[in-house]
Amino acid sequence: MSSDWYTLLSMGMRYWFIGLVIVIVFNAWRGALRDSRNARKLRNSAPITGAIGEIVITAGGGRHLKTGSRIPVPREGLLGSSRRADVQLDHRDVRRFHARLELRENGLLAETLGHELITLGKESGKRLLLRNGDRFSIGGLRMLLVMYDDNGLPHGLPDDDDDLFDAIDPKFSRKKKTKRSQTTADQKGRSSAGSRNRASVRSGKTGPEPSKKSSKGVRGRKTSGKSAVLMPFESRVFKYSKDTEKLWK
Amino acid sequence: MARYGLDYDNLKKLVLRSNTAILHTGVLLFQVTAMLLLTFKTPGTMDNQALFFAVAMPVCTEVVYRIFGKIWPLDRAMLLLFLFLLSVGLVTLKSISRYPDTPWEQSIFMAAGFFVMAFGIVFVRRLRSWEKLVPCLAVLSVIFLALPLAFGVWKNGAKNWLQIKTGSMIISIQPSEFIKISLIYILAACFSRNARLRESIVPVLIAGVFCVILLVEKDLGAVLLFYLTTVGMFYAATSNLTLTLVGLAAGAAASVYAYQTMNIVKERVAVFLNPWSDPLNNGYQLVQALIAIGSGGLFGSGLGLGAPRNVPLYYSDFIFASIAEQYGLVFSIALIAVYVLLLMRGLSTAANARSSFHALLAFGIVLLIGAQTFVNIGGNIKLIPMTGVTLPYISSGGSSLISLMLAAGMLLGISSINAEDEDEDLLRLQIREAGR
Repeated sequence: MSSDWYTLLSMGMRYWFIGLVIVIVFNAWRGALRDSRNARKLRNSAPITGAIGEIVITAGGGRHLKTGSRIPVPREGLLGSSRRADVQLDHRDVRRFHARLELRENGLLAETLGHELITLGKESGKRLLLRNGDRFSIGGLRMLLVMYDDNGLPHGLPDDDDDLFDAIDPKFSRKKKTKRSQTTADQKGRSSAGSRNRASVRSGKTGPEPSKKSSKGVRGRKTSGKSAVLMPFESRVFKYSKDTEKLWK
Repeated sequence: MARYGLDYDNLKKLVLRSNTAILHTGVLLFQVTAMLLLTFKTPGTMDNQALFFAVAMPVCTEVVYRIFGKIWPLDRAMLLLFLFLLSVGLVTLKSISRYPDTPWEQSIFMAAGFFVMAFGIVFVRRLRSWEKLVPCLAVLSVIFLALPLAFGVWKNGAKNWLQIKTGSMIISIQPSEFIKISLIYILAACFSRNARLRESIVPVLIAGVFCVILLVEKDLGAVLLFYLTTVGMFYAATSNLTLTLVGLAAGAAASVYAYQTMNIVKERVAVFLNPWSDPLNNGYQLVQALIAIGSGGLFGSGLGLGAPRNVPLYYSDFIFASIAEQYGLVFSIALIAVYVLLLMRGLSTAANARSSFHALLAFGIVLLIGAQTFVNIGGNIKLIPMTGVTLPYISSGGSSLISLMLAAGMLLGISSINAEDEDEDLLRLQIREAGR
């Protein structure tokens, strides 16, 4: 090709390249907008993705922390009374940035910054490993840690024995009180379309005195005093309905 | 289960990112048409190398995009933006270089770079205890960075190159490019550990040691980038505005001191203020760059036309001036927009990261790419005094390309981790709520 033709062709293609790059930029920009809109929709409808559990206030909350309120716990973050803390506990015994929470293999590691303590049962310390169902306190504020899915390890596999009976009738399950079967019972209760299961589990709980029954339910199901296994209704979260509020009042 | 209005199939679709078909086609079209055009540049013959690239580039792009996209749930738009920048670089080099060596080298480095990118992705995904690598990495980095002092070669006024002679080939390595990535890793690993201020000084000290070594080697551009990255990551990690401002003030004071004591800084600032004061000697580079950008006009002079080789270092530090001349102002602004979009996606990756190490690592990489782009383009257009940094992904230069592709791999790896975590959480939510 002679250089004149090439010059003409090249000068003509300039507009083609500019058009292409504008299309690319515009498309990438639109994609970024769409992604951020989708992300916002996702956050709004499923806000707990990213949380590994909740802290439930059981006693001692002031005017801001009602007993029974749940605060989601992220995988790692700061716990404190400041607004910028990931787990915000607005209480006078909780310092602005009280502790660092970090998810470990076998539980949630809580490390206080500074000289404050967290009390777990009889012991208190600056560096504690909290497990699912542990009740701990900071000063006068008492809390319960509820972790989804037992520390994030998936339990997909069903047990060999048929736990269907256990799941339906709580009386039977007290005989076989091993943590494993209770866990699978909960899993089965949760993942099967077991509305029956739910109804009978809850029927004993949401009676005329909901708060008493529910707390009794938690203690009643407790195994050998160690970390309590999650009950199905305890793991339901976030969409506060009127029933949920009643359970704790 | 739509009990409370949660529709899981729709949510899953939201997690998957948006369609990249137009972007994909655009990149491929650009590569093919540009290379085909360049085949006919020399009158009378067909440029075989350009023809080869016209086939190889889209094939390579397609292979990388499909394979990487299939194996890992990474951010495809980000991958396509990286591929677009790389293609612009290769096309521009092909169009402006006199001998076919430069584009060949660049393409070989790019091909190797894809493997390095894959390594970066896998490395970030598999990394569990990131702190363990820090001491070893810090020591190795100091040694690697200081090697040019002992064995190195003076190039362009700075002694920061290593040359390895293998047979008849000379491979030049610039250690500071790789150490940038290792610095980001060290800073991210150290800053993510704790919130106490005393222990946050240690990584800053390590960065300080790097800067001192680089100052001795007179690689001022790298010092600037290391400094900006450290200050940025420090602020992101600790949110301590006071100390960050102290750091910035210290940097300003250090640059004033450098201006007083080092002649090269004085020259560069004088040239920046008025390049026409010394147009044939010190200011030659900047004058030629400005003339090139100006003569490009709005739409450019055309690919393969124009006189880009008049600018010294037209293939590395001043490649933006060459792009502005050949493709024009509109294209250059769009190119800057591509960088900005890339940084936006990187920042959203950093914001969505689930652990602070990943978040800081992604943020550091974004900061590095952004700062380097700003410093390079700013120097090209006389916005700031010129320092010797290359334009990321576009400039020719093996070390720069490979280290930045490692960084890109890490960023893509973090985005794939985010997508997986989000997906897993949605699945758990679905299982939990399915009991209703």
